[in-house]
Amino acid sequence: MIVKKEKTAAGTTVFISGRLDTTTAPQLEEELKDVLAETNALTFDLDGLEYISSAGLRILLSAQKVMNKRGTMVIRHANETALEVFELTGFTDILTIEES
Amino acid sequence: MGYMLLKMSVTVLVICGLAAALWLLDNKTPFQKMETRVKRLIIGVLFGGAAVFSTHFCAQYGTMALNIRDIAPLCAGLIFNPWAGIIAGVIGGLERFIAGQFFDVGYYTRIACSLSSIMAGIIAALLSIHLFDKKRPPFFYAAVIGAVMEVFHMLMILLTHMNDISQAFDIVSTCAGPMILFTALGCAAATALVSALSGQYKKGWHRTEKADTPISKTFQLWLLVFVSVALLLTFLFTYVAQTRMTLTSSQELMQLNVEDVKRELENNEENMSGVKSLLKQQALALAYSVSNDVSIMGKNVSSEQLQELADLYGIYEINLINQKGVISSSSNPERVGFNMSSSSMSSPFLVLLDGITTEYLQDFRPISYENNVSLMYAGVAHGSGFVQVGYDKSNIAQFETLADVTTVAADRHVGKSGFVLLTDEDGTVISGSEEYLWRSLSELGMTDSPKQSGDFFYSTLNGTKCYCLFDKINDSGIYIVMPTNELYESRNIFAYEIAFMEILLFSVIFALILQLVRTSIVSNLQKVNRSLSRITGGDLDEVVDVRTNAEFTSLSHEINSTVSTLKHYISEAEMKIDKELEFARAIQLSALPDRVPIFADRLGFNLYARMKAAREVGGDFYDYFFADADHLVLVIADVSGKGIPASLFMMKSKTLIKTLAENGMMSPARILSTANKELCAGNDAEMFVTVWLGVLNIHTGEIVCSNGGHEYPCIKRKGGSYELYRDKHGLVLAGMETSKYQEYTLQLNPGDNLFVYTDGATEATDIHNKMYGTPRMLETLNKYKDDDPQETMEKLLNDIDRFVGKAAQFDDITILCVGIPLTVRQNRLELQALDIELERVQDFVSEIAEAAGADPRTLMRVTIAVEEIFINICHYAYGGQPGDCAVECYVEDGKLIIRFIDSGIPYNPLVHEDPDITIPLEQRKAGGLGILMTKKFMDSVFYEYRDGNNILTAEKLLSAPENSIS
Repeated sequence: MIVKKEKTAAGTTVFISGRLDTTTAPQLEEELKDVLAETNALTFDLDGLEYISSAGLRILLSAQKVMNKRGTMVIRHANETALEVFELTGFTDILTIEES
Repeated sequence: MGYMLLKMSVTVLVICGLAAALWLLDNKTPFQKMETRVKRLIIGVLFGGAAVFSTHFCAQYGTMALNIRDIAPLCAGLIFNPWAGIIAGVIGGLERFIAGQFFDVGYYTRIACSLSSIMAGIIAALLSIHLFDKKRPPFFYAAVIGAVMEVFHMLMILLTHMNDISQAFDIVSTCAGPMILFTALGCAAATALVSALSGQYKKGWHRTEKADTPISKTFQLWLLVFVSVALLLTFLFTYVAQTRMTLTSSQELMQLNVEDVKRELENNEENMSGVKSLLKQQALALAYSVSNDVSIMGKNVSSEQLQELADLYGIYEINLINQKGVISSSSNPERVGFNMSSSSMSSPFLVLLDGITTEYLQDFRPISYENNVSLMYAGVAHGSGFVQVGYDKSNIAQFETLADVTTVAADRHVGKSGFVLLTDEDGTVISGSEEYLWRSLSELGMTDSPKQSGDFFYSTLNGTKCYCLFDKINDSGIYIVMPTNELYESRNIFAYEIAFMEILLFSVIFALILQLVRTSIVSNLQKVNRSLSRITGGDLDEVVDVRTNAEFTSLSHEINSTVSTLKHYISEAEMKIDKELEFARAIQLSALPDRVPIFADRLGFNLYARMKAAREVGGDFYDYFFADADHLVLVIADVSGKGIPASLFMMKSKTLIKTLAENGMMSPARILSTANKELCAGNDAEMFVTVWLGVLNIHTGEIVCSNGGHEYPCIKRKGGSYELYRDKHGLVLAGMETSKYQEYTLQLNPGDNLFVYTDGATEATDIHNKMYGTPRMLETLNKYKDDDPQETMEKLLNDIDRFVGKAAQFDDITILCVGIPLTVRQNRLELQALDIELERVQDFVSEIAEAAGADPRTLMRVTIAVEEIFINICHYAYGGQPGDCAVECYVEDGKLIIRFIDSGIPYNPLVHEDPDITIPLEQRKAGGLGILMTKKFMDSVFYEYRDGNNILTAEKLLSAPENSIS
């Protein structure tokens, strides 16, 4: 999994590519700690995401909970696999997913 | 008479001898092998010769020549051959005719005799064919046939001489008795002799039981009785009636004659009285003449002189009586000295001595000194005495002739030989034929004279028995006399004819009725019986078809409909049984594990089992199941017998073995001996079962086996051939309670196959009853030994099919093959339950799924599910401690099956409540999502806890349509 962060005036965008599974989830969690502390507008770009398991979902869920208190969180470029996972788990209701 | 009997007996003996000789020739010598046509010709000609012999070896009897020619054709036809009879009859008959026509041998009866001989042959032939089925008749039948044939002969004589019936009747009445008797005797003797020769009487005479008497025999007997009685009665009736009629008509004839005679006599009455007075005058005149003549003769007239004088005048007697009333001289010297006053008859003449009376006439009176003589006396005075002249009847015949009296009877005929006698008041015949004339009836022998006119009576006249009618006119008696043999001649002819005809008629009726009974009842009954015995023999398609009359048609119909109803019921019952057997079969088959090859990709072994059931429910079975995670139990068995009992016993055996193995009994020998004891208990049906049982360790390939009376297994080592493995057999199960079973261990390595089968395979039979056999089975197996075991098995079954061809399959054919494949796909991954092993697990599953053709989408889902489950185990199974985990993955029936096995805390993740995915964000929890996704992404997920292991199995259909989830 590769995580890239890009800070702009509008907010912070996190690019996730590769596999987001149990073994890689702690790495993402670590990367998000400072981002969640400072930004008001968080965007997840999932363009390169190949795989997501419940471990990844949990991170997205806790990020959403933090951002709900402070600003906005948007998910974009979610591929079919990710969308299906979101759908199955009811995440489409709680995440803001940008239509691509 | 004695000579006649001797000659007839000789003829009978000759024919008997010929019959016996021919029978011996036909049964004891090569003659019997000759062609039938030639044989019957020879027999016919020989018997024809015998008939000719009979014709010329005739016996004289009275004025007749008796011969019994008809025996020969009858014997030929009845004893030997119908055609021989006809030939003999024709020869005998023709010869008889020729001899009669041209050589004057019995000319008179030539037609009747030759005809009856020919008929004898024909009738014998007909009877033999139609009444006796060409078998020799019993001798009493032969006797009756002979007798009837002669009756026909006699009747023919009468019928061919109807114009000359009296002579024909004479012949018949003389010949009938002896000829009928001897012909009957001859036929009976010849038949009995031949029967005795053939040993027919050796069996002795047994009275047949009523139940064994053929219907035709009973019929024959009763028919014979009734026909005989009817014949006798009709004959008696006609005889009496005929006697009565003959008598009546004769009486009428006689009465007519009496009337005629009376009328004639009445017409002559005047004549008679005239003649009477004339007679008296004449008598007196003659007396005067005699008186004159005596006067001329002188005083002493001698008897001789008076006799001369009497002869001259045609006078019976002349007496000279002196004045004392004593006969002084007489033409009859004995009369001299007779005192006229001494008899009442002569004393009236004494009036002539009174000198006044000159003449006295006394009418005819019987005289005292001579019997049966009546005299009329005339006396005239002569000197002091008188002359007495006596006339007898003949002396006055001329006068009666004058009165036409004598002709009245003499010219009259009554019938052919009957006649009329006229008597005067004294019973002396005054008119009639010469032999009776002027003789008194008592002298002629008529003892019983009638008193009343119009009386009929029997009497003897001159030694001939006669029937007479008496009547009277004035003093004359009229006797109409009819000899009895003429009186009854016509009746006797008639009686004979009637008797003969009736005998013939009743014989024909007898034969016809018998024949009718045989054809319309007996033969039909036999036909029905034949059909019935075929039906009881099991041929329900047999149709009874006797339609010669209404009764048999309806009987046939009834039998046919009964049979068809029966057939219907049987087929219904059969269908029901078939259906039940089908159910039983289905239940039995469903008890067997799925027959498709299983485990092909799993755990490194192949298994193929198949049972090809016979139509009937049989007792074969195979079974395989896991006794635990490592041990696969394989069973093949064959229960003795077939049908429901076998199938029930099979179910019992199968359940028992499986139960024992599943409850931890791992030793095949122990399983078999325990099962044996169980099966022995209460085995009332005395059934048994052969069992081969193996327990395969699926990891090591070690298989422990035990054989309870079953066929040798076949084993093929890698690169080698299928060979029989001659293992140690125990006794069949359920045979003996104490049976011991041994076990042996085989090591199966990759490329090895173990094959077991039931005897249904080796003993499959083709239409020629040839068995498939073990050698051919091995040959076929080895022909395809390098194929996939499954294919090898299928080819073996095909070969057996080809061999059996159209023959019915009698027994179940069951085969089972277990093998270790050469290339084993690793289906099991054992590793530590650590997060870092996740990728290894996912790769292991992906590889198998990809190889099975899973699409990327499915692959992704499966991968996610695998992670969720595995991570779950890593984090929770061992409570944070390190632990082991095994993952098995294989494809079966198009399904990807993934199994996770851990020995951690027993926990079923599936009972965990799914997270609510509809509630607002703040209330959502992070847990449970993984299991939720697993459930959603896989088709089925189930948990079990076994042998201290948590086992979670997830299945995914690989060919599922896209987007099946959403």
